[in-house]
Amino acid sequence: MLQSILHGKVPSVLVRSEDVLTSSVFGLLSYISSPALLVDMLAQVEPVLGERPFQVKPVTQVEFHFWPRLHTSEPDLVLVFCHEDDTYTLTAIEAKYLSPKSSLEKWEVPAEDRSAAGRDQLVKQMQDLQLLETRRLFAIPEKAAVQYAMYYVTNDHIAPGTDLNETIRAMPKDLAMSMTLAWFDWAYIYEAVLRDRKRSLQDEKIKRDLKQLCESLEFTRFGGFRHIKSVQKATWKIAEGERKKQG
Amino acid sequence: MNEEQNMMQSIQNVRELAYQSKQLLKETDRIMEKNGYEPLRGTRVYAKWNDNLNERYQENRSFLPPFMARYYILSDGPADKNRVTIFGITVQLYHASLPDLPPLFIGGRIEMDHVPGYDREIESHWLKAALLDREHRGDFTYDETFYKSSRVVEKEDLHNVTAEVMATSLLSIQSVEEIERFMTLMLTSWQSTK
Repeated sequence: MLQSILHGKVPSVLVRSEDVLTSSVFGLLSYISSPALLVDMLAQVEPVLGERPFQVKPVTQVEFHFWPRLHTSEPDLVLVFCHEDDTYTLTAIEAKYLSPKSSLEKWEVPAEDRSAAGRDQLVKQMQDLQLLETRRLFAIPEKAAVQYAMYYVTNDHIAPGTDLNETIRAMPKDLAMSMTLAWFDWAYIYEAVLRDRKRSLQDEKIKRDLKQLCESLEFTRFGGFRHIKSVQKATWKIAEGERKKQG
Repeated sequence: MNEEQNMMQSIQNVRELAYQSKQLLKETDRIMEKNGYEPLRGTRVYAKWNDNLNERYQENRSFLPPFMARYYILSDGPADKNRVTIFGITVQLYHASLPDLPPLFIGGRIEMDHVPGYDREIESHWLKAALLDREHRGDFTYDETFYKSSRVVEKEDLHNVTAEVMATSLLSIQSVEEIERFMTLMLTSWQSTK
């Protein structure tokens, strides 16, 4: 699938569908032999709520779980980071391209009567992440210390303030106290790949594909004006007249 | 290069110029957001564009916009009840009456009276006008790095609009770091008196 995308064999509507995007971009990241690139990338995102994860204890291993079925939600990706001291960082990633959150908080319904469909999509995922059954699903020891983080990935180039503020507003106090909520855009992944240090030959091949994928999807940053090429003065004209007089 | 290739490359160049200019403005949005500012008009740029067949070659409004601008206000709202401070960035591709002008990257601070709906009164050309337009131009100086102009009053003088601007050659901006350097200089020059 990836090679067909990179060689323009897949219709762009399909390439830009959120599930295909998530699978292609994060799928490539999952093949990199060391968690360092991913950890560096996530660690440098400025949270909108809570503390930055990955600041102290080195990560020894990361597991990728695409679209896991949690209690009331299905994040696009759950990342289970195991640290050197056997603590964990449990991270959900919800990736958007063109669509909005799949559900919003129904403020008009009393909180105790709100069904899952009436809850903010990110809040549901964050609450599910902290459940005991979620720990069991990902084989995290019940007594292990766990830090929780939620990353919201969108196609905006600056933080989608309304979306994020709505999520923060809908978070129960205990959840807000125990969770990191952060946002980044797709181009941030491209930037992280570019600034990453040189790795093994195989990892470099994966990074090259990821870079090419981001470029084909225009998930890039300002690249300067170096691609302007020399041309000769235009001689093409429909009619001589006003312009000739102006010289 | 034959004539057709020449034309194709010219078109490609214009597309690249427009695309990278927008990428550049996305970077300025990011930098301003980090400094507590938000852009006006969401993702739409301020530009003067003309789709009329009767466009004259030397007109300010053209099929290819001469400039594109972004304006920023403090995310928490204006700090001063009487005056509003707005930062602005303009990518000036060309100027119809200044054919020798190189493409410029312009930044600056605009101040205006704090009137209701002030954000709808902001004109796309204010920043570049303070530097380039004869009727508005301030004390124009060039010190080999930056073009600078100070304290300019908007012609219509509707809301006591003043502007302080600086600019550099667009070609000197080739990386995110160079954008950051320019923006930092702009903010440190004028942010303290917001």
